[in-house]
Amino acid sequence: MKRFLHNRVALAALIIFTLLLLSCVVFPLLGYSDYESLHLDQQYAPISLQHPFSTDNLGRDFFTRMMVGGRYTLGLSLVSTVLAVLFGTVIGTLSAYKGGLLDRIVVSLCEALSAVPYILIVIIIEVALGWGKGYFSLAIAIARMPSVIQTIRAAVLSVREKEFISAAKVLGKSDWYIITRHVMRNVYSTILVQFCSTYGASIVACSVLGYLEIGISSPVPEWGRMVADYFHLIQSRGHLVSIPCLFISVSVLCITMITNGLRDALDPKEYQHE
Amino acid sequence: MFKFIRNRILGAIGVLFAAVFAVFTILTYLPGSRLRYLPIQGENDLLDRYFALIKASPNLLTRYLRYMYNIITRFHFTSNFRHHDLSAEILTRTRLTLLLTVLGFVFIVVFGIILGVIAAHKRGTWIDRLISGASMFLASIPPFCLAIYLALIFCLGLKLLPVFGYAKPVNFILPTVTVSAAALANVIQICRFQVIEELNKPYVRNLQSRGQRESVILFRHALKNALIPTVSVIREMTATIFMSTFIAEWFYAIPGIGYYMIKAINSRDYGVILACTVVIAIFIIIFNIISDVVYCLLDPKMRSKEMGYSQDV
Amino acid sequence: MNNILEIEKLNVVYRIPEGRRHVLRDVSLELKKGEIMAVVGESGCGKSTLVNTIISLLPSNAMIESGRIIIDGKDITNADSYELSSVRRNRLGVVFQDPFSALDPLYTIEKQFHETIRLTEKLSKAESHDKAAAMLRACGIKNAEEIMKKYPHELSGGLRQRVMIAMALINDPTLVIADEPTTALDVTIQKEILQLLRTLARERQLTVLFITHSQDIAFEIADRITVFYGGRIVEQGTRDDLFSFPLHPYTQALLNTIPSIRYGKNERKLMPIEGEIFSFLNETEGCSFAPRCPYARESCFNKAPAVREYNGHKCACEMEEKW
Repeated sequence: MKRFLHNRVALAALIIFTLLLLSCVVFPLLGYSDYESLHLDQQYAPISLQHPFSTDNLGRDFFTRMMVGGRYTLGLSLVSTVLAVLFGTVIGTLSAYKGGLLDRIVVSLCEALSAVPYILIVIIIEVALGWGKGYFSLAIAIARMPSVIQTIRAAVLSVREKEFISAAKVLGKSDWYIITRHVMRNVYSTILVQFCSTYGASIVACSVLGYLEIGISSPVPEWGRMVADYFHLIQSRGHLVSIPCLFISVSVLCITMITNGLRDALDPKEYQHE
Repeated sequence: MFKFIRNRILGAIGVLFAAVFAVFTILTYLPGSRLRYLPIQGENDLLDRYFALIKASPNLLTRYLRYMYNIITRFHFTSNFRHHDLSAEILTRTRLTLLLTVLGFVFIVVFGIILGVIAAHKRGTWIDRLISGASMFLASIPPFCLAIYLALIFCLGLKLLPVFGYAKPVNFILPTVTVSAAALANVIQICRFQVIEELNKPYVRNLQSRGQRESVILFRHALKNALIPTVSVIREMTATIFMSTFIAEWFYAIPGIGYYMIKAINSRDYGVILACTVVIAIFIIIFNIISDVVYCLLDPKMRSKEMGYSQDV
Repeated sequence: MNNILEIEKLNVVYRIPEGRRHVLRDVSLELKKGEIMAVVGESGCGKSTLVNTIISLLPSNAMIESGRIIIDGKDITNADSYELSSVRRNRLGVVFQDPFSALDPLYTIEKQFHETIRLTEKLSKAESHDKAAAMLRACGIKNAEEIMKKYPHELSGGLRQRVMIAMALINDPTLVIADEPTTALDVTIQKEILQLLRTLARERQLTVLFITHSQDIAFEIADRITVFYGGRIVEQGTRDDLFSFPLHPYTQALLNTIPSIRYGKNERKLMPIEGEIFSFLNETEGCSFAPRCPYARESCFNKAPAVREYNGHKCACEMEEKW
């Protein structure tokens, strides 16, 4: 962790992203929560404390919409990241540790799924299960899961070959004990890095689907959805499009930098050099 | 090698049939919310008619085989839902998407390798930092954000390029950039990394000690070796490239397959979704086979293995 | 002007985050035409840096602080890149340690030969083919034609090292540098490669600088031997001189580490060298070997040992009374 905190870029990214996340949580609680009631008399209101980012074409407070939208974009992708990493880790670990037929099935499924654009996976899941926030998160989680499984599987495979695992087996420890005590301790850094990179990819997926008007219906101010909703105003009111765009870009960039920082900090190989 | 390619194609066709069968089944049997969205206000008999239709129709496998048979023999996409022929529409849209994707691929390969080699050659300098930083930025942000930045800069700010339309070549500049950006950034990163790796290998020292020219070492040796992992990364990026293609089509209103499919999703036209899925699956499989062949041509180890030479190492 | 290689008082310094590391100190050696010189030393003593300096491929954080390197009458210490590559093309042949990675895996042996030959003379494909095949045969490869059509990964380690030697010799270099050419090979193949190098050297009057960490190999192949320790030359002389009268305590200790298989009364005790391996991390101004030397005195730790010479047998040690 100390090494991570010494990395100035990653630290700055972490601070910016935390501020962004916190403001999305806090501001709606402070009264900026009405994102859908229309005030057609207050179109493009002047900037004030009540409307820090002015209002949109329907008189809705743009700042509120951004903050609530952040809850959707960052929140939904967080849920799907947790799902993807949780199930991805379990499946990846079991597949690598047990091997055999299970492993082969998992590997070929992952290969097939990762060769398909994720929009198709999301669509099929949506069609099969229905439309809604929960299913939406689940769909993104399933679309992101193959890469998590593949990475965790590779990490567990490399740990499994190590001698201390054979030693533990010789000592008669149970598989559960070995996995929880030895394997997990050695792949936790991989899981952490995967969590970060999956979160970035999920935010991208979430905003892309929002932008394509799939899965999220109109009044919900998801950032990608907002880009699509205001796109016809790009010439007259460009900020309505560019601000959500900027927020998405900044949060994804921050996550990328945090991921890179974590990867550098947790790489045991580099650790030995110092 | 021909045997290898033949096996790949046969395998790919198998995968295609299996994948389409899976999607076909899901779209037929797991309608989930599908009935909810049927226009059934006051017309209960519509629902009955729908179920009657399903009962009257032959079983799943027969319908699936008939569906595939129609595609293969006549390029005839049938729709269970609308009962009209989609093939003409699919065909014209496929052309546009294919054009955009191929342009994107060319852009990725050409600029990815050139910029990657430049960054590797000038490693540590500001040029390298600029290229690496820009590629990190492009690799992270979603394609539609990039498209909007490009539109704001080039169309509204500088008024250089048109936003919409797909008739003139100039219309394809921004879509191509949008299609390729994410994958391009990845290819630059991997190509730079691999070229640097190769330049640190003993055979490069060997060449240098013989007095070989730096440019020959860089291009004929280091780059050619670095291309092998780079090609496999491009292969893995196929899905990303298609995803970006859909977004670019949607953003620039180019009526390709992606545009058609997203429209179909929003209007829940399952026949069109299925047809588009089949076309995309065929695209992906073709691109994968091409990259396999390129991989094979580049790597003599693969080639000799596939040709059945013995390896005495 | 009989010397092919002349190194005068060479000092090489590495810049690392913690400061400077003096890796080569006052290294001087010369090679006469047709001579095989072995450089012996344990890993990390500066042998590889010596090779890299001679072929001017030092890593970017290393620099020559002082001294000169003259190859065949040409001073390369301050040569520009054009002169350097001309020296490398026409006068140098290098055989590297690891034959598994020293050939480009993507080209056939024939193509790599062609490329190498074309660096010095513009021969057609057929001509270079014949030349390469002849050289491969000289290097003990009987089915040369067949080998040349193959890729490096299809050859065994011994074969690849023979190819490397052939490639190093193809342009008639005046100086051949062999950087631990046998270390990565099996013991039986090591012998063959050494045999080959010695025969080639005798037949073609080659001048060879042979780098190795194994004193056995050095005594087997060389006319003269230079012993390295901690970036300095500690002793230099003909093979027989060094074998019969090792002067420096380190050389004596080295000879005692050669295991022998005599049993009974004559059994020589295998003597490991006491102390820790030299590391540039704790360098001193004094003799590098002093911390491990059984005869070390106070002055050994403070003052660099002077080099004394008797009939071409040089030694850098202050222990005069032992001579």
